[in-house]
Amino acid sequence: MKTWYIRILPRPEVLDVQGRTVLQMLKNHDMPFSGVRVGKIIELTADKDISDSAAVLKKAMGLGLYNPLVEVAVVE
Amino acid sequence: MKIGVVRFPGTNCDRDVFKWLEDQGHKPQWLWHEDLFSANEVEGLAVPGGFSFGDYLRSGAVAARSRVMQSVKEVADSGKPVIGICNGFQILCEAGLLPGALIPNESGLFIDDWAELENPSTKISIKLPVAHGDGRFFIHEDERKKLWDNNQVWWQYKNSLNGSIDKIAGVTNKAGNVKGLMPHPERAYRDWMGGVDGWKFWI
Repeated sequence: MKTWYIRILPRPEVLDVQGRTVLQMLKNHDMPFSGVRVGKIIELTADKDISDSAAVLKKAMGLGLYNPLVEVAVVE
Repeated sequence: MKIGVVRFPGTNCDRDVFKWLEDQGHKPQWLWHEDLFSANEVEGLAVPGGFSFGDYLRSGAVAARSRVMQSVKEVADSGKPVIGICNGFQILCEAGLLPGALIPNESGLFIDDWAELENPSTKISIKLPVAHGDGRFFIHEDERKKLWDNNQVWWQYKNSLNGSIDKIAGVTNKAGNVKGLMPHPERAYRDWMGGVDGWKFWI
């Protein structure tokens, strides 16, 4: 079985209210962080090898897995 | 009784809970998420529902780590009554004051309805409103057994509502003074509300 992870974060120029809230919570606990961005990871699995997986993943990502206008996605 | 009503940014059932307590003869007082107070200052606490801190990370996760929770824990440890309703229940679970966690409903849908409940010990049946998206009670198998052994299951749905393990709608801590439930007793204590089962519900 093959697994891919797509890491999705809000674009740096987009206000990440969730990240800002989590940062404030961490600061309230005296944690030394200056920035938090909250995104998501999508795990994709396939029972068999996919030939030309890069193109297939690109197509899958175009099916609404992320919004390139406001998010950045990286396949890991 | 002097009952503190804890509010966070995003709490939205606070005034209902305040009025509910007041009408029952208690003396509610507001508490804010930044407050620190001594357990001697209150005789009990209520944590109302809503969407605290936007339910970021998980429902109740950020609220559970806010400053006021240090004092809430102190009150809970002192043995005084503490109730969490809906998001308040989620917050108390996230804070480790109640066992388990509340995860998204099995259907994936927000449920806004009335639910019939039963107390597994007394067999008392009541009907209360529910309004939640993350109301499915979850707990690991070994902890589930302990809940039953220690009489910590407070309310069960009569019919499977949201996929909760054992149809659990509310639980208590081991000592029994901290309680949490997803349904809203504060929305059902006058005839015009559609039911009165929320009256004298807790203390």
